[in-house]
Amino acid sequence: MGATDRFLDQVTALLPALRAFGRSLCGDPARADDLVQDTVLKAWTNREQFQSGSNLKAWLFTILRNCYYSELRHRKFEIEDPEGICAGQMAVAPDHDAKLQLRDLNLALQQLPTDQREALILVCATGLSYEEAADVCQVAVGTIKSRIARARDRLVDLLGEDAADEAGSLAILDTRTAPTKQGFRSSGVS
Amino acid sequence: MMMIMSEKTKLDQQASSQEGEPNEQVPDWLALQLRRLNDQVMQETLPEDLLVLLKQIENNERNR
Repeated sequence: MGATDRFLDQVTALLPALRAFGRSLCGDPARADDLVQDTVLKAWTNREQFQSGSNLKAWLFTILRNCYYSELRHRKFEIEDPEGICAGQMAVAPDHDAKLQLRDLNLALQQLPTDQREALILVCATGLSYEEAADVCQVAVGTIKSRIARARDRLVDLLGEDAADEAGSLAILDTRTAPTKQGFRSSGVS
Repeated sequence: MMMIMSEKTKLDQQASSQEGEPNEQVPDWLALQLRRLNDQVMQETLPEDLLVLLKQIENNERNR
């Protein structure tokens, strides 16, 4: 297998994570997939700039993020989604409480400022370290921590006081009905 | 409100607060929900357009 094939294979393996990050950034599945396509093309075009052995995931996330902000700059007027119609599409039909919770969380996420949302997602959902997230967002580690703190406080406000109890009861159900994923239950932010 | 945090999270939070740094710790229930949301997208089948694009890149490279 050549270096080209290896690079493509590695990029392909990271596509699900890229799609998830793209969707959390813009809240729109179709637009997120467009961002991922742009990211793949840019990564391929600039693959010589990627240093083998460094963090491909962080590099691709940085490209996707740049694509997103570049697109925002080119859009004179951002299409607003006040009713959360696009954001609501992220979750599939709410056939039980867990999906309803995820839909609510997604709607709340889309109400956060983008810089706070991306910091929270990169560290808490994607599992990047503070340092990696700081690299992706091109800010200091302390800035990432501050953004996460503000995002957390706002989300807790938006989701309401019942959210923790409901999430807690579903987590208990999960442990009885579903196999536990390794590391899934840790906060991932320590 | 019930704020479930792991012991390590609590210790980290205390240490962070003592040092005057931002308290960025996220309660476990919220971190879990964020991971679930992320996992939900990650488990989706990749769209055909994306697979076609990758195939095109691969073919173009092989034909160079």
